[in-house]
Amino acid sequence: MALVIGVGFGPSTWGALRSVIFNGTLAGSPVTDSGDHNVEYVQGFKTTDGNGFVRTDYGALYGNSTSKQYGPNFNAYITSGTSAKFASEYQTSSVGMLVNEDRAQLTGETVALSSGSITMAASAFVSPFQTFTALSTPIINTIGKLTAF
Amino acid sequence: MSIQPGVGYTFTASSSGTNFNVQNPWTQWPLYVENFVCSPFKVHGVLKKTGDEGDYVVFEICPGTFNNQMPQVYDSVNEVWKYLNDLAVDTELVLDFASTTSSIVYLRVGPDATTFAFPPTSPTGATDDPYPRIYSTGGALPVDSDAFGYVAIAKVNEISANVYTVEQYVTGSLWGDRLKTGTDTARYYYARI
Repeated sequence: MALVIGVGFGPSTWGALRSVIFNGTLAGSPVTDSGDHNVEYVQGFKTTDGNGFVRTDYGALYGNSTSKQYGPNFNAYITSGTSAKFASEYQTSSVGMLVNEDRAQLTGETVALSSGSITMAASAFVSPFQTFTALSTPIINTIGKLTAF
Repeated sequence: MSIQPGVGYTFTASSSGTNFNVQNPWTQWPLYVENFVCSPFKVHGVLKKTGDEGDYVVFEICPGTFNNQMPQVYDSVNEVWKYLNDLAVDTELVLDFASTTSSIVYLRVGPDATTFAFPPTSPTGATDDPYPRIYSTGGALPVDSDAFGYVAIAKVNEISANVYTVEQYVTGSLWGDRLKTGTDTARYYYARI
């Protein structure tokens, strides 16, 4: 569907179609202070020199929930014993919250965890998601050039 | 002295004398106010005035909105912040032309400290009021901060004594969004309506 920027029924600016990628391995809400046309991300991933915003229709400024699974995100968690999953989870869309171009660019990147690292596979974006082995509850530190903040 | 025929007029000579014939009758020059169209945030009417404390430059600005809020501007005569669409006839908006030949007219907006709405829905009148305000500066446009985002509306240049030109940057009302990531300074995105 086409979007018209700057009208009442569409996103107000290009910024409304941007979001950081949330870090599902950190506790708490990724957004604290937010109001009309304003959002402050307190956790997620960003680049060193840039801001880490990615294109998405699921940004907080476009009227979406600020819960981690309702925006662009990466998560890692133990499912049973040492079995774990690495996932870009989604709730409202069968195609995820990251656009295909970003998914393609992120696939193959090294994901540095609190213990060890994995290489992101395309399966990370589609349920039942990428599996790996973890000895303890993983926390994502970096994904390629993206660093957790 | 002699006058030669030109565009729109001729001379004919006869035994009775010389006739001056105008083929294209003179029409009234269009007045500035007749052709002037007020578009949102349009800066116009720049004029140098002389007061008790010396010369100063005033300007006018057309009403425009930011996220559907009507900005305010400082009325130097009545010493009060006024909405752009509620300026009295005697209002004087003074440009910052101190020691410069140009002045930037800009919009300053910030987030509400309580509701976090960008911008607040009503002004407080305080110096650091985040409600949309129009300012001018003879220096550079202020740098964005967490507290305020700045948009250059227009630049007024004094090209010769008492002669001014206006470079209009914003020609419509604006939408704006504010995003802040971690400890980085907030970023501001704007779109013209």
